[in-house]
Amino acid sequence: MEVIGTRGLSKSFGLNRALDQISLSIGSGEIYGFLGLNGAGKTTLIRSLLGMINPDQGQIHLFGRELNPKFDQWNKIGYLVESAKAYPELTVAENLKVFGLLRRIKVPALEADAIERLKLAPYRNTKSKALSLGNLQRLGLAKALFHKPALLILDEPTNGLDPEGIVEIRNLLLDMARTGTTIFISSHILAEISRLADRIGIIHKGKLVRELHAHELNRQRTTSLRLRTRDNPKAREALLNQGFPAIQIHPSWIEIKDERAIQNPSSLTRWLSLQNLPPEEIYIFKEDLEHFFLRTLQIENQDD
Amino acid sequence: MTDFSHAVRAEWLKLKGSPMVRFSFIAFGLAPFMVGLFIIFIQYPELAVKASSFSAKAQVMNIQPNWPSFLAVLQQALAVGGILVFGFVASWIFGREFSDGTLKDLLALPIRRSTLVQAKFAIYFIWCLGLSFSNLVIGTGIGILLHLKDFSAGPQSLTNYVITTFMVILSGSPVAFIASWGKGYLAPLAFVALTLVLSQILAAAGFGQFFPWAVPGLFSDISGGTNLLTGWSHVILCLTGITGYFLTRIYWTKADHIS
Repeated sequence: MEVIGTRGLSKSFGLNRALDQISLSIGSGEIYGFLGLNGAGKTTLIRSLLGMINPDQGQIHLFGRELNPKFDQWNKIGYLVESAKAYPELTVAENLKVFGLLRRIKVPALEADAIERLKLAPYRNTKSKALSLGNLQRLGLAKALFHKPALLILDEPTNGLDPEGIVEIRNLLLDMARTGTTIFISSHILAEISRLADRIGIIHKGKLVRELHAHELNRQRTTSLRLRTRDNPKAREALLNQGFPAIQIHPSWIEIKDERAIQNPSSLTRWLSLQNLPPEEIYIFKEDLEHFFLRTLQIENQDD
Repeated sequence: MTDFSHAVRAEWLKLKGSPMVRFSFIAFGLAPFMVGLFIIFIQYPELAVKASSFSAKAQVMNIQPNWPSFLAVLQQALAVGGILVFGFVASWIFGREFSDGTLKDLLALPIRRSTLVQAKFAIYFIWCLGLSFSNLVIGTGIGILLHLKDFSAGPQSLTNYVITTFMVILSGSPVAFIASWGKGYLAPLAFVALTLVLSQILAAAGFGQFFPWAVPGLFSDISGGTNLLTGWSHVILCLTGITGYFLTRIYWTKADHIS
């Protein structure tokens, strides 16, 4: 079942095209990671999905229903947009109670459960103005998920959390996805997205420039052999003569994107040693998500 | 229970522990004490020697040590001070969601945004009624302590006081829109200050009856015996109140909320 569907979604603010023909389809139980630089359109898309911004063009469907003023599935959706905020004079429990009232949920146990799950029990009666940034973020997440939504829309959910908190939230989200919750998550912590997401979308200048499954990501990420010798120009020439597509990526480093070299670096090391050009350093470089992301944007900028 | 009553309960809960509630009651509650002080200086002229400016002001205002005069001045304090304090209340109820960054948490909920706006206006109404009532209670207590005479005009004074309260409440609704449109407290507070200044200028120039924020003051006879109000004054005031409500509602339901 399609939980989030957008067709040709566009939005401009003056001359700035914030969203440009975004079409997405996200299924039940999927974790969709959304990446983009600052100002790429991530938050505009998230706010559009939540009905906070009216698109100029295109449609949004949530749970198969068109998002319009009559949309009535909001209790199936939990969200955290940008940094978490709360009513400063109210305690953690009271802040949740406000949203329990507004969501018309009469089960205090749900609020208590969220406090436990987000490890906010010691702060239950603490005013939110006295919370640390990390605990305020936990409160924001508690507000997003206390009513057990079928769709969670999270914008930078691990902001302000310490490493332990990041792992806890990751496990919590993975648990929720396992029980069928669809999660749409944007984050600038790319490694976090790569650990969580089933599918990743990259937005740049308002356009969805790339969409790929997590398992595809491994294939798309480039692998190369990088080495350094005492005479790089000579080593490169020797490698080229031997049929290896060696390129100088830096004055100190040569890169070879060739399966023969990547699969068997020891043979190459031996061969270079015989040429009196023994590698001073050699390693297999596996592009991480950050490199992949930046490379994708670079290609997109060249296309523009 | 309806969505509206849930929203009102949520708004009520948000008031809990807020220093603004205490501040508004303390600030507004100063008015009856000031009026009482004027009466004391009139009753005991020997004290006025030590506070000549107070005494002079009391004489300019033609305050008499009796109930009709006391309640009339209390009503004038409500008409002018209410524009300021009720304006602060509206600024806070609506502007806080923008200043605290909590607005975004209210926009994708099962309760319609128009219901949230109605609930906020309901709280504004209750809060302002509370302020007005508390001043009346404090004022009555002070009047009893000062042994004021001639309570026969009490019911009429009370009716005028209640009408002035509703007038000032009506005049505050555009502040809610300015707080929403201006995304915080600053713009509405500047707007309230501007309305007070313009009220003075336009009333002095003889156009106060057409300026909604001057109407409560003129109704409370602040100009001194001349009833300048016409039917249009009341129509303009009502239209201002209704326009403020609908603009706020339209802004919350239709505008792009990008921050």
